Amino acid sequence: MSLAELFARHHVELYRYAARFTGDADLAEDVVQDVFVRLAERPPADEEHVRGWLFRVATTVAVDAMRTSRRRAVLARAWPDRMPMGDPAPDPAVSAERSELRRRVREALQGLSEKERAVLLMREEGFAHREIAQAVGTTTKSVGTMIARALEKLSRRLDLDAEDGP
Amino acid sequence: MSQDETDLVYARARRLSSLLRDADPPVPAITFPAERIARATRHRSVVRWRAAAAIVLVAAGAVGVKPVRAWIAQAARTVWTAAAGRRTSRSAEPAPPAGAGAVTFVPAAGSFTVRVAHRQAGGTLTIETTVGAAATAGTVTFKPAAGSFVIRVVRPQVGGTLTIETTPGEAASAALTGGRGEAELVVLPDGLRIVNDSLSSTNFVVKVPRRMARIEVGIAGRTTRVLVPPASGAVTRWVVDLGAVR
Repeated sequence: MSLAELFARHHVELYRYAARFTGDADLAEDVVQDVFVRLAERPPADEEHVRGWLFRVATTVAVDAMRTSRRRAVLARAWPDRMPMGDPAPDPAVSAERSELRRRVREALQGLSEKERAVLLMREEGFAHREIAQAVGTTTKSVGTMIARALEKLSRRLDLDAEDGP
Repeated sequence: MSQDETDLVYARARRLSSLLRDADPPVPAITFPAERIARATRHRSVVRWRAAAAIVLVAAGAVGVKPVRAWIAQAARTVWTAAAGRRTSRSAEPAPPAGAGAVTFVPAAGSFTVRVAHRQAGGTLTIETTVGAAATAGTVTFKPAAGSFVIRVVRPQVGGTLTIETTPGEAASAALTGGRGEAELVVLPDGLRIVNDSLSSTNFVVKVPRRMARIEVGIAGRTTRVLVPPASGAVTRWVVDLGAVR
């Protein structure tokens, strides 16, 4: 499969993952492009498992990008046009309720460790525990424990145990 | 973990999935970073190219057929002769099969490997020679069987082209002319097989005797183009975009 085909097939899910992981829609777009540049530079030996490779690299790139972004926090304050995922550009179609939900979800996810976030969000993308373990560098057995622990943390912030919503 | 605890985890996961979907931002139109990829891979491609260029001559499945066997013998002998003068190492050194020379190999720059595999009943005779000094890729020249000339490209690539030219005379030739990536050229009695990398953008030039009745180009197992050299004998050129193949 060509690089362009791989991009067409995976860029939406990678964007979704990166946006959730970083909490920053602009950064997520950069992450997706960086992942495909890296794929061209150093393609994985095993093309059959390229999807797992893409998400693993996306996690690394996202972590680096977030650290760089934090170092530029002072500049960001002077750059009000760049808004994070939870505060999208004004759009009449987006309700205040939805904006509030985005903010809460973003803050809750950012309260997790990078590894917990990666584990939880890769599970959301349908990866098996074995693949997640390979991506974050842990054992398959511990992935289940990490997911349960991360959900426990989120349940307090997002009221995940409620019957009818947070 | 008890059943109740497991159920709780699953319930929380379902609830989180729902929240995430509701909170996801719309997906923007993200462009494929073609220019960045081209810039990032331009330098490295040259390095990989030098390490990987290879020309392989193998027997087709019909090795038991006398003309094919003779053709392989010719190929092995001439490639062996071409490489022997400058070889630096050798995994096996059987006597080259007898036969007249029909295949020549002209190295370009960098190092490369010539591997001749002669499959036959009861085993495979392999001659592998690594040639050092100044060769990267090269041009392999050979005399194809009459009739159709078949070019089989194993898979589509990120980019790159396959240029096919008709040429006077009886010899066909194939060369890798640049781009990024690596590939093997496998010379077969009725044409050429290009064993390439889907993430490469290597360019190939194949010259085919204009006497051939037709030229077939197959990519990823499907016949993509059927080309018919003009009866006038005029030199003709076709370019197949390997990056545009779907």
